[in-house]
Amino acid sequence: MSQEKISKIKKIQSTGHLRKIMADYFYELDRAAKEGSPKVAWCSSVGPAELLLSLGFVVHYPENHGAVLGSSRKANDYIPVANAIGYSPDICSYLTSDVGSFIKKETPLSRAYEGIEGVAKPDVLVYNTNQCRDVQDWFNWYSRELGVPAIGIHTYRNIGEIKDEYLHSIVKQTENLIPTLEKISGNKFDVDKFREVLSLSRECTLMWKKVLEANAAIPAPISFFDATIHMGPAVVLRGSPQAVEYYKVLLEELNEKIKNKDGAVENEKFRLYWEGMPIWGKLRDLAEFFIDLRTAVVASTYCNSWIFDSFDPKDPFLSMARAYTEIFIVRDENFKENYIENMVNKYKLDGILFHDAKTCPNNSNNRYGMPERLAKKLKIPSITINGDLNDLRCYSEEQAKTNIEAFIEQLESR
Amino acid sequence: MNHFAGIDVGASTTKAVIIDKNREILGHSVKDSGADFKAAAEKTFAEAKKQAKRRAQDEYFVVSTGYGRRNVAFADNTKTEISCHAKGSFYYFPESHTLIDIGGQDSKIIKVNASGNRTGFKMNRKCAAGTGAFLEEMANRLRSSWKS
Repeated sequence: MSQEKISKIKKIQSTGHLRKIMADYFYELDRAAKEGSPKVAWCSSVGPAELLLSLGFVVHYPENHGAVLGSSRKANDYIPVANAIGYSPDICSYLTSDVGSFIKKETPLSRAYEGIEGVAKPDVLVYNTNQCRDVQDWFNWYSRELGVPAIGIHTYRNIGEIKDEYLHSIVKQTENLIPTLEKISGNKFDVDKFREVLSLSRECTLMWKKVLEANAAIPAPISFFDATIHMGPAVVLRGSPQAVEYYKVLLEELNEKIKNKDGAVENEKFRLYWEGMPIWGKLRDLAEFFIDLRTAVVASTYCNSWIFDSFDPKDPFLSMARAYTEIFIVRDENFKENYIENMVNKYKLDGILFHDAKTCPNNSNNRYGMPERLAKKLKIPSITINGDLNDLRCYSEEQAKTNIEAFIEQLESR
Repeated sequence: MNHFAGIDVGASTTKAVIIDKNREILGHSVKDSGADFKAAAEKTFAEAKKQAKRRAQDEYFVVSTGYGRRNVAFADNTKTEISCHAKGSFYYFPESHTLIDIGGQDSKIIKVNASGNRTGFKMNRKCAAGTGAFLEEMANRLRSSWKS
């Protein structure tokens, strides 16, 4: 690799728009919690948010707060606080950093948004175990602490084919949530409202998909590291017109970049897939590192995990059950391998980077031989780096960087 | 340019070697890296040059490698030690082979094919897990010399 440092992250103009709608969202939550109306629901990020929105709740996503703690590098101040009350450093570091920040009565949101003193307190906690069991344990901690109900959906996991009986069970579980949610929100469930929210969520998800697919262009207009920030509205504002509008603006900007061959990485030489969680506290550092290596991290499982194209307002319960079941994290190894194979072909990738996140086994797909099987099948090399989503003590930076650099040198010599 | 220098700033020791265009070694030096990698790189390079009996105005193409490779401001290029080891090892053993490097901070296993290309490598996952620095420390505690 040359000594020459270029590492300038190119600005995405739409970021100003993103900041505004995210600020509006956090202020709306704060106002609701302070005024007691509308009611606040906390929801797992791939959970039945659309149902909650249709019942008039404003929705807070603790995983989003976890990511905020990670990217602001505050997580390591709070993880030990949760460890001290018996939550192991080996479990989800979103959970431990979020619970730790609650105990310490601190949040980076206060620094970012004047007047917000803390995370909006919930009136109800609603989880979906499709991603992991940790969300349930996480929400149950708050349930005990704050005396609010934690209710949820238990999804079948590690599945290949999606069987009708799985979906019917999830539909039934979703319907069973309604009486409790009606009571807490004070609103009667209205299926037409549900259809409307689902329809907006579908629009958001399809626009987000188009944003990600823009990276099929060579050079790729947006890096994985930027995309993890720009996916904010797909996580916390899906079901709202603002999210749809935002992705229209962002997509237009990316299409312009494609037209001008203005890649996120100047003189892009290699294209990689990022499998696994981001390392939130190192987004900028890694973005610059890859720019210097003239390597674009083009596509990822993570950003694709907020594409729910099965949403169908005509059949809201069943389609929502399907959409939240067919995502990558719920599926078996064969599905995941085929999925990554399609991504490698679609985005013309040179290699795959697996991030083995110490505290997130369900998002670490290197542990059962997948990198080796894929390398053999696809004839492209893969690399595994050890790190974590939030706990930077688990990230050996020099090892990871030497590993990545040597991997790029290996690609150069092919 | 007729002379080339390789400087390997490792976690434990810094190594410098000077070769000519026929790949003959003209001079080399090994010193403890200490805490100042920049100084270690400069000192080892100076000693290797002295040994090589080169004139002060002679120019070199310098490649730095190793844990502290980014601290060598006068390097024309940097490569990871994984690439450098593979090249060096293939020079002496021009056949398909596996190379094990037990460094001060990292251990690496590198596979090299019959054409000299790396086909894969593995590193230890964590800092100092089973590495040279650990072996040195253990030898010390066991009152045994790691040099023997």
